[in-house]
Amino acid sequence: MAIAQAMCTSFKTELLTGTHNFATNGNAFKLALYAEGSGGKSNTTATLGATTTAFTTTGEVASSGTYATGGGTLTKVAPSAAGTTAITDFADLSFTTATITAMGALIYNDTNGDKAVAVLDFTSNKTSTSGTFTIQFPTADASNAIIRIA
Amino acid sequence: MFESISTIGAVNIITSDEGGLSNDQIADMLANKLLYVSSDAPEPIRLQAEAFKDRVRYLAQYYIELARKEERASICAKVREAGQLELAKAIGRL
Repeated sequence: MAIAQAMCTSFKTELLTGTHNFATNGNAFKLALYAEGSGGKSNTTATLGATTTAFTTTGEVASSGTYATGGGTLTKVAPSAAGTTAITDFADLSFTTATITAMGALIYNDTNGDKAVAVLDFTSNKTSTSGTFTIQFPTADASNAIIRIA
Repeated sequence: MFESISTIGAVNIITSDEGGLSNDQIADMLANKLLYVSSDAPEPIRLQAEAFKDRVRYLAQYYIELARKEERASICAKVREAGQLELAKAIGRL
C-alpha cells in the first residue's frame, strides 16, 4: 500500500529530543493531502508510512479552492492527560470550493524543518467536486484521540 | 524499563459536491465528535448510547437548519436594503 496509516518513527525519536511542541503557542503543524495513482499534482503516487520523515510534494494533490499545496494549517488543542494517557488534538480542517481527490494525509511540523508527525490513510479515495473537503479529527479521549501516548 | 505505546486515531472525511456540507453531514459530525460508542460495549449500554446519539443528531440537524435559515433571512434583509431585490429573492429561495 502506498499510503499506510502510521505514527512516523522519526517523530517518536524526535519526541525524545524535544523537537515538537504541540502547546497552543508552540510549533505550527500542517496537514497536506495526497493521492494514489494519478490524482497527485504531478501524476506521481504518494508513498507514505512509518518511514516518512518529512513533508514531500510527491503525490500531493494540486491546489484547488482554499487548498494550497503544502496543506492547511492545523489549529492545535493543548496536550492533556486522559487517565494515564497523554493526548493531543486538532480542530477539524476544511477546504472549501475545492475539487480534490485524496487517499491520505501527512501531518507535519511546519516550524521545524517540515518534520513528519503522522500519516493518515483514508482507506479509499475521498473526493469533493467544487465543494467542501473536511477532515474531522476523532474525539479527544484516551481511546480515540489523534495522537496518544499511553 | 519503561514502555510507552504511541498511537494515532482514525479521522473521518466528509466531502460535498457543488457547494458546502449539508445539514445532515454537519449533524453527523457533531454527534460523532460528542459521543463515541464502543462497538464492544455491553449491549444495553451500547443501545442506550446509540439512541442518545440519534437524538443528539436529530436536534443538531434541526438547529443547524434553523441557524442557516435565520442567517439567510438576515442576509436577504441586508441585500434588500442595498437595493438588490433580485439577488435578495435568489438568496431567499436557497
